[in-house]
Amino acid sequence: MSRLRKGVYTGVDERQVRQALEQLEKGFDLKAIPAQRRNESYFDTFDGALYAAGYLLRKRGMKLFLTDLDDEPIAGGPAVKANHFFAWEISAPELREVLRPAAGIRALSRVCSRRISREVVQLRNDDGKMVARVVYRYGSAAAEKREAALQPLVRIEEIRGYESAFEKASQLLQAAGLSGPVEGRNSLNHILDALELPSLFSSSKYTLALDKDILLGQAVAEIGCCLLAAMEVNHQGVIEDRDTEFLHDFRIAVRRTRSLLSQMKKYLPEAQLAFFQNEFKWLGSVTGPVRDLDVYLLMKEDYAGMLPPQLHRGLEEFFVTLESRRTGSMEAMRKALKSERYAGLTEEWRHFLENDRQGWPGAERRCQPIARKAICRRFEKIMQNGLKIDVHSGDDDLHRLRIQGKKLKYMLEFFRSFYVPEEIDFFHGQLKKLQNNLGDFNDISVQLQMLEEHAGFLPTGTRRSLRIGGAIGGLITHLSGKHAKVRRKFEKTFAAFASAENQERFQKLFV
Amino acid sequence: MKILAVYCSKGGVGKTATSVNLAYAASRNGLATLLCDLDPQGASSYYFRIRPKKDFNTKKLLQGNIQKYIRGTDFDDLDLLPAHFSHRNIDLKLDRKKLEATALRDALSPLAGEYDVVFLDCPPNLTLFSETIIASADMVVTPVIPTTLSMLSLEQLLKLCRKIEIDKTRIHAFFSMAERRKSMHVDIIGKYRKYKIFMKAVIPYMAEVEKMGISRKPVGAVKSNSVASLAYERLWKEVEQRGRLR
Repeated sequence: MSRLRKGVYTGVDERQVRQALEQLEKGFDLKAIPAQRRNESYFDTFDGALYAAGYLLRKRGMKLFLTDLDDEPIAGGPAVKANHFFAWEISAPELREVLRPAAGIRALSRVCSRRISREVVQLRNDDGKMVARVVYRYGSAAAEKREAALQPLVRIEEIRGYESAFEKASQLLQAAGLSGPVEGRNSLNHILDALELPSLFSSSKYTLALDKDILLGQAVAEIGCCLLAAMEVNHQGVIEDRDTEFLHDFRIAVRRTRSLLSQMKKYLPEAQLAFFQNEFKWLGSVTGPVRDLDVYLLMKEDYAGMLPPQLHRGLEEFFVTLESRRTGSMEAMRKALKSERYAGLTEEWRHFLENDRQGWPGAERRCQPIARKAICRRFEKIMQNGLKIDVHSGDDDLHRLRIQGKKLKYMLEFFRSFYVPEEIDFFHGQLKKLQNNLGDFNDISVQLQMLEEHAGFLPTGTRRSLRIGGAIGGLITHLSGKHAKVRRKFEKTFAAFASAENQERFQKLFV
Repeated sequence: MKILAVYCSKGGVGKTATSVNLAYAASRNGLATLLCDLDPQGASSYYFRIRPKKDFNTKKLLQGNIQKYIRGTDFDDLDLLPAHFSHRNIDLKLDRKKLEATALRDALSPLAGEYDVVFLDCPPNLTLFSETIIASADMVVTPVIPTTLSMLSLEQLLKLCRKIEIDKTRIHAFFSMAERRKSMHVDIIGKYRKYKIFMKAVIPYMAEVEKMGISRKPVGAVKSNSVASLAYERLWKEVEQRGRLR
């Protein structure tokens, strides 16, 4: 049906709004519908993926309502009975299929809520026909331990074919002193305005831009604090086990921190450096087992696709054992992340970055030349080691190259703002292609190793073991073929990365 | 978009009540619905309390220039194109030489993206315009009071279909204003209901339906679980299934 106009007006307080509504009697007969009270919560992923995709998802009672950013309805269905849920758990097919691509593997959690009273006034003509509708909303909103009253809102809704009634009602409300029509503010914006929050979403994307003339000490502090903030913002989601991405992003921040410490080791005090390297290594090790299992569990559908139906039962049983292992590893990880050791690490790291720079050997040096040297060193190492790899090289050689590539990648990210964005992004893109190949190779290697180990631990003689063994055997066969295929692509991929053109570009940019 | 004509050449059989209540049921069941009041008496328009805009007329209807004349009812997903008194001369506007059998379908085609179903509340006559309506509609729902004369008008409708070469399976009849205390009604329903043309749902004579003239609302909007409302809901379900309206 045709898109009808809506005019949103705001008042200072309830008294002003009610007086304005009374003015509508000058043009219409009014029929008031009794007020309805609603409690509703807004759901989204941690990083606001639904909002970014143009959706607002609300839960009211035991129902979900999906709208666009103009609050126009799209789909709805029964709610999932949990505080955090995934799009694939939604039972209503239309709603589920809209949300799945938007939310991906991220959990949907409550980001804010509101309690509103909603009064409807029908504006009628002399025939008793409703020619416009006015909806008056007032109430309160809550998010992040804040609560505030919502600014009272009056919305006029046009009825098709009664354009002049809509205009007349708008004029009467404006004449009565209401502000508007307000544009581009949806119900979520209304909540943010009341709570005085810029956004309800967080991002773990690394976007820090350093000043070109920044000193090394300041640069390391800013990068370190940015990464620490990423760890902290994901910490609660990891503890609650809301979805796999919280741990993934947490570990990326830890890896980047370790890379920072390693790259800048010459310029940091030895004793503290050793301490933090050890502690962040510990953090990587206590979070590794759960992440490894998450990766396998996320592969479940893909694995099922690799096997004939006869082996699916064994695969299912295999995944039951993985789930069970994950539960145990999760408990251990939770304990570590709630420990005094972890709390102490973050506190001391923050203090070190913010307050202790006087003792650093290279704190007062300009960062850019040092960064450039480090990037060049990394690139040369990759070139040397990559060119040595041939068909006879072992898996370890590619693994080492991948680690070196990662270190270069992090350096390019940390110091991106020192260079022309298009040029460094191009180079970053070239590196990404190489890293994708090496990453795929490594992922399959790790999966094969895990499967072989698991097969080795299966108790002998039971039917269950036979089934699981059959499934694992099928997976190993399939993955081995894939492994060889990815390996065969390496030489061509590396040649593209190491091309004369790329080397020239690198020289121009960094040397 | 499906076009569903509610038609009978005989007056007083419950066409308007059928049009209004089926359109309401369609909208309650999630279909974006338009009711076109083609009867110059304007009874559907009266029920919904809607008058036409001053510059609307038959010429504009036949030119397909109707979007701005459609008006929203008091119910979500249900709009109305009100009647106009000039529709009494609609046959004069249809040029026999240039007549396209599906003139009405063409006029409504710009609305295909907006509505799932369009109901036509048709005038009770047998004219050139009736032929256009029947040729344009995907489905013709015809109320039949279970009397001899009403059955005769059904015969006439089928004859008209043969004349204008329209597949008679487009016609779906149902017994309307049926009264169990009248033996003729009982006999005729008993004799003819087995024929495929007749839907299973029967709309009994109900005071509630007569009172629509006072409430000026569909029966379902007065009380959603009344006998009348449930009867029209049952009829709607059958119409929806026969017409494959989803």
